[in-house]
Amino acid sequence: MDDLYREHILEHAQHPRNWGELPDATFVMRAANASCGDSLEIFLKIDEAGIIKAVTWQGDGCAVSTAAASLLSEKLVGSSIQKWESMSAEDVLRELELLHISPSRQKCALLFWQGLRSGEDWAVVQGSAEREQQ
Amino acid sequence: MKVHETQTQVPILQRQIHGKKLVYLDNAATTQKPESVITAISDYYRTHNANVHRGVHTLSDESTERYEQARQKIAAFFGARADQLISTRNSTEAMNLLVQMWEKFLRPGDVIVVTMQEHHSTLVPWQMVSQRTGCEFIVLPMDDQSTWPINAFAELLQEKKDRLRVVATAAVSNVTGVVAPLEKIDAQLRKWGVRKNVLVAVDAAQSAAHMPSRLDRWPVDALTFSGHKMYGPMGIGGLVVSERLAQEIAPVLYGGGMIAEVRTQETSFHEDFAERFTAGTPDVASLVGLQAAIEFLEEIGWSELQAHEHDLVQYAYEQLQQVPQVRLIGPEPGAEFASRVGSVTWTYEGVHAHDVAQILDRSGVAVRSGHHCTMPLHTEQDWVATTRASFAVYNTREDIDQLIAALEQVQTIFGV
Ligand SMILES: Cc1ncc(COP(=O)(O)O)c(C=O)c1O
Repeated sequence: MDDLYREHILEHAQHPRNWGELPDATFVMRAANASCGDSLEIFLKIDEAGIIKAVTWQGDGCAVSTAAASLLSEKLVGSSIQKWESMSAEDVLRELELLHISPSRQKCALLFWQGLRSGEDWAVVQGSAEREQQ
Repeated sequence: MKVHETQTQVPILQRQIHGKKLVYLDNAATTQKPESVITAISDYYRTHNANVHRGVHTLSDESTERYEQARQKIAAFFGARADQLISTRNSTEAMNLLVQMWEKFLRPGDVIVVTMQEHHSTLVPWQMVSQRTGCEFIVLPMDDQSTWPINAFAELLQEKKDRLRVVATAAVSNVTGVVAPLEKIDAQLRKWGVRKNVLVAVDAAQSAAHMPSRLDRWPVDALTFSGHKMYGPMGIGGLVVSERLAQEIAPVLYGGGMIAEVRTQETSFHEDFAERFTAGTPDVASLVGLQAAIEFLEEIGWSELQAHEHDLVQYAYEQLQQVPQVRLIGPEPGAEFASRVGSVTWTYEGVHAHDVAQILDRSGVAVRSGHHCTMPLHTEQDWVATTRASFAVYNTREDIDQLIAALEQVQTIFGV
């Protein structure tokens, strides 16, 4: 736990990357952690092949969920959405170098990813009917 | 027993957390257990364990005797007789049970009232039964976030007194420490002459360890409690009902123990109240443990305990007020004990409650962060999450000093 608040986590928590709305987003996803009140929205632009072209996000959360969202958002562009959907929680924690996080904080670290894979809750912003039917 | 002697009675308080002495300030979630409670439970299993009522052998007799003694003690603590006590796993189950038993009296258009600061264990069961029965479910917002909304309640009565059937509320809020004005609620109902049409149900989960919570003193029909929040074991709680209510309700759990006669097509129930409402094997060991917890409380005595805990709440409030980033919520503790009971809760500017709690844990200080199962209140007040320090009789001013010292770490780490 002692390195949970290490510098680069804190730095991302205080200066989250890719913050805000994305005007030409094709999808908006939401995730919330009801027990602590954290919630976030992810704006994605995804092309026909399922490749993520752009991402922004915004929300309320603790340092861990904010930093994890910021860090993951930096890894999205150029990768396929399917890849993220099919990853396990453990894979994601490994990506974040947070494998040893306590069980009570895992939910925080995984909130952004939870949003990414909440396929059925996707709101389609501009068309992309094909995806909507899935 | 003097208040300061209680610390040595609770073994877990000797634990080290991250190399520091544990400062346990999460007592509203669950209190720690005195040695006497732990011993009572293990003694029961070591020497007296047998199923109750169902055997003629010695152990069964011993177990039954302990079971009945414990029930009497617990009921008396809540100002009732054993035949007014239905044991449950916890306060949540007790409230759900009350709702299920009361459902048959509810009609479409009836009014059920709770407040915004109710714990989900009160709010949700009444909300769900309102949906099932077509009742109007009213959640009163808090008076300027601090006090129980007695004025709004009075106004509501003017309009809806004829349809009002249920008022359910916490005797003490687990977030703001607000004490419900039970006498005033009762007086309002009497003023309009509707008291007898209304079920007044009180969630005593957060009052039981901090102030007398008694059916023979409170003008209410039922109360619920959790043993684990009053120095007893987890897994035991109860619903205590008035004599009037005991006459009106019927069991909703069926099985062994609670029956008189069973035939293939019909069953009659046990005449005895306690039996009728105890389907299946009760948790005797936990009841015995809870009896020991009540004896622990009685050895201290309410006046010493209340004075000490009020001092802790006041001291914590004052100390936290000195921290510039802290915004305290709920009423300021006044001179009166009942002005705020059991806990202090705050938000920390610029830092999420989870991060505050995690950093405090590094210093061995255990507090709770989040919604505290009061999401409507947090949403209404626009708090993302809050941090709460809640007290028990074994806490000291030094514990609060540790809390304040640990809070400085938050500033160091987050630089706010
Ligand atoms: C006011 C209040 N009511 C009810 C409960 C529910 O207690 P339990 O989880 O033991 O059923 C709690 C516990 O946090 C509480 O604070």
